[in-house]
Amino acid sequence: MGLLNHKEDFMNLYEMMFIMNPDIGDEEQEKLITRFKNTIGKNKGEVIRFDDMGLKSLSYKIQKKLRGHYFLVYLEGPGALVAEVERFFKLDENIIRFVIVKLEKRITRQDLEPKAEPQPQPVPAAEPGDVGV
Amino acid sequence: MQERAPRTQGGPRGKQYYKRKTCKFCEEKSLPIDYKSPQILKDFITERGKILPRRITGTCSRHQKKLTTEIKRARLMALLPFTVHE
Repeated sequence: MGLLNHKEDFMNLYEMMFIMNPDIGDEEQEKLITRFKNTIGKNKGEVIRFDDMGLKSLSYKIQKKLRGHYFLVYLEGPGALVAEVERFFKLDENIIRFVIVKLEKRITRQDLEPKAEPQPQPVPAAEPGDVGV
Repeated sequence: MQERAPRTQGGPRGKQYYKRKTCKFCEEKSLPIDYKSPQILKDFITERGKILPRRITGTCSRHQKKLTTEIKRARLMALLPFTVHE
């Protein structure tokens, strides 16, 4: 405490889960995701992992819907980012629910980066200089 | 739901002894308490959806605290019910 004078420079790790309206088309969904990512980019945030958890049935009805499209996002950014993302989620009517969790200090970025097994993503190969192990 | 351990007979002055319950999360460190895995949290709520007290499940204080927040998060995200109606 008090050691960080530049509070806005300090980055935190956040986990976000949100439920999207399952009835919207692919195109609209794509647009929403791009807008979401833009919001993060604008506020000096960075997406570490973006997982599509697919359609799941809800435990109770929300906005008369019984199913929802779940997404899980890990990102790194300053504290001010949270308010902006929250605003984005609240304004968009196709986002049914969301939760933002600040991750514990012991969790590092490396723990969150997408591994090979969950979904084969076109991750660019690491530069030869980076491989230290 | 964890069941009460069977009564053991013959304690002094007719006292009843129960087998000591242990915290599931202390025994198995890798078991995550996470709102994203509602299947694990399900063991700690009643059929009605209420959070079970520590004295029934045997969870330790630290883990019960974490469990409560995670169950509440899971409820918010509709991964667990708030209530279950008959």
